[in-house]
Amino acid sequence: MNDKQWQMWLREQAEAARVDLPSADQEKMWQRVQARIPTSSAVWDWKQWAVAALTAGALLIGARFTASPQPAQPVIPSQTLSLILMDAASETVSPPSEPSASSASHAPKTDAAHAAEDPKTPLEPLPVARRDAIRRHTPTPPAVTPPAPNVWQEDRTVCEGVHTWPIPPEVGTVLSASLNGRPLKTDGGKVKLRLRPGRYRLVVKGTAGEWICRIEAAARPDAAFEFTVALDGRLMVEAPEPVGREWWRWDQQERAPEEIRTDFIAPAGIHEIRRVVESPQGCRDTAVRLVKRPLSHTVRIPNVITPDGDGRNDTWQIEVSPQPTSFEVRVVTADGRTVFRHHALPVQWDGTCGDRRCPPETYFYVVRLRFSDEQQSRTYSGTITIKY
Amino acid sequence: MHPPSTPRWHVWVSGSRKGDRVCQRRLFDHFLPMVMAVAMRYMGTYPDACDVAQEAFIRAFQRLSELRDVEGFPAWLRKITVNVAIDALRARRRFQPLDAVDCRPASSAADEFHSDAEAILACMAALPEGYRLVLNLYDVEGYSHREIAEKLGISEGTSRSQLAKARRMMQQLLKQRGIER
Repeated sequence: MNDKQWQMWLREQAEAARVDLPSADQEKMWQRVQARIPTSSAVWDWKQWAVAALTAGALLIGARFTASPQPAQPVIPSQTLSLILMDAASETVSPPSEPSASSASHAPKTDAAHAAEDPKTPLEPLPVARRDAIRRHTPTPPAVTPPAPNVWQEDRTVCEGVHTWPIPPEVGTVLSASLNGRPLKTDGGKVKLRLRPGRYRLVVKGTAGEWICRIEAAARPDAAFEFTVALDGRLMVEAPEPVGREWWRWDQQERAPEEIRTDFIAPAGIHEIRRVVESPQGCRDTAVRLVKRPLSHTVRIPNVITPDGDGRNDTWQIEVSPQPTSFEVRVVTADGRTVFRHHALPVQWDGTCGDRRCPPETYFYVVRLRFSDEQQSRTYSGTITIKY
Repeated sequence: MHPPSTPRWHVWVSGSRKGDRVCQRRLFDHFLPMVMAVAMRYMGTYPDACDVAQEAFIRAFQRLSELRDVEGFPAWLRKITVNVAIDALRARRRFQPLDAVDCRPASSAADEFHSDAEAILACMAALPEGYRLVLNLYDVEGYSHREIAEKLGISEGTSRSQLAKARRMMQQLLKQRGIER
C-alpha cells in the first residue's frame, strides 16, 4: 500500500470513528459547556422582528377604533408575548419535529417557554381569553442580549510598550491566555504584554469565567531634539513641532517652549535640558540632553615694561579671566637666575631684582595656571623686556 | 451514532445561533461522539479528550455566529477540536524530542475492537505524543509539512522524519492487532 492509499484508508477510518461517553459524563460535560456559552431567548431574527412590528401595528390600529378605554391589565412578560408572536409565525421559527427519544430526554422542560422552543414539542394554542389579554399590550422591544454572566469585557486604551496587568480574580484559576489568538504566558496572576501601536484582543480564560479585554495601543511620541550652542551662548534648538503638547526644563526649572526655541542664551558651564512631549492620547516621551558651554578664558601677558616712573607701563600686570584656581609666575634671566616669582593674582612687578632695578634687557617668563572648568593646567611662556 | 442521511442538525445550528438552549443541547449530543473521537486521536487519553471536547464545544458555540455555511458545521467543528487539542498539547509543554520518548507500544492483547476505526483510535493512543500529532495532522487532516512545521514550531525535516517513524510504528501496532494494511 502506497502513501496515498494509506492516507485515504487512515482518514476514512479516523473520520468514521466515534467515541460514546457514558451518559453521566456526557451530562456533566454539558453542564460545564452550557455554563459558558451564550443563551438568549430574547434574541430575535429579522422574521421575528417583522412579525412583532406587524402585530404591534395591527394592534395599535385596532385600538384606535376601540371606543371604550381599556381597563388596567396585568403586566405580561415579554417572553410570553414573544411566544404568542412566534406562534403566529411558527412556520418560520419552529424547527421541524424529529422523533428521537434519546435526545428528547436531555431537553430541560421547565416552563411553557422552554417547551415552546423545543423543536419536538408542538406549540399548543393559548386560550382565546389569554391571547386577547396579551394582544391589548403593545409589545415591548426585546432586550439586547446580555453578556454571559461569567464573561467580563473591557476596553482599554494604552500607550505602546510593555505592560504588566494583574488578571481579575473573578476569572478564577487561569486556564489559558491569548493575545490576538496567540498564546500568552501568565506568571503569578499577571499577563505581560509587549504592545506596538494597534488594536489587540486579550482573552484570559479561567475556571470561573473569561476576561476579554479589547486594547487600543497608541503610538508613543518622539521627544528627541537636536541643538547647537553658538560662541556667544545662543541656543539653537531643532525639534519638530509636537502633535500634542511639549514642556521644556532647563536645569530642573520649567521654561516656556517659546523661550527655549528663540533667543535663549545658555550660561557658561554644563546644564541639563529636558523635553517632554505628550500625544493627544496621553502618551509621553522624555528626552534629556546636556548643554556644555565652555568658559571664555582670557590671559593677557605684556612683553615689555618701562619702569621709568612716567605712569605708563611702569609695572608688569598679568590679566587673567576668570579667576584661576591656581596660579604661578616666574621671571628668569638668560642665565637661569630667578628674578621674580609670585603665586597669586594680581601681579604687579615693577622690574626690580631684589632691592635693585633690573638691568634693561630681555627676561624669560613662565606662567602656569589652571581654570575651574579644565582638568589640566595651562602654561604660557615668553619674553619680557625691560626698557628705561 | 453516525449522522443520519438527512441531516437535521442544520436546524439546530440555526437555533443555537439564536441562543436556543434546546438546539444547543441537541447539537452537543449529536456531535459529541465525533468530537470525542477527534480529541481521542490527538490526546490519547480519555480525561484529556474530555477536556478538549468540552473546550471545543464551548469555543464552537461562542463563535457560531462566525460560521458562514451551516452545511460546513461538522468540518468547522472538527477543525476547532483539532486546534483546541493542539493548544492543549502546547500548554502542557510536552513537546519533547521524539527519540527521547518511550516508544514502546501499549499492550493490547486483551483489547477487543468492534471495528477498524476503534482499533485505530487505540493504536493512535499508544503512539508517542509527537508521532500521534504529526500523523494526525498530515495523514488524517491533510496538512502539509510546512503547515505542520508552522503550527508546531518545528522544522519541516523534523515533521517528515516524525511522520515516517509514526507510520512505521502505527503499521506495526495495527499488525499486532491483526489489522494488515
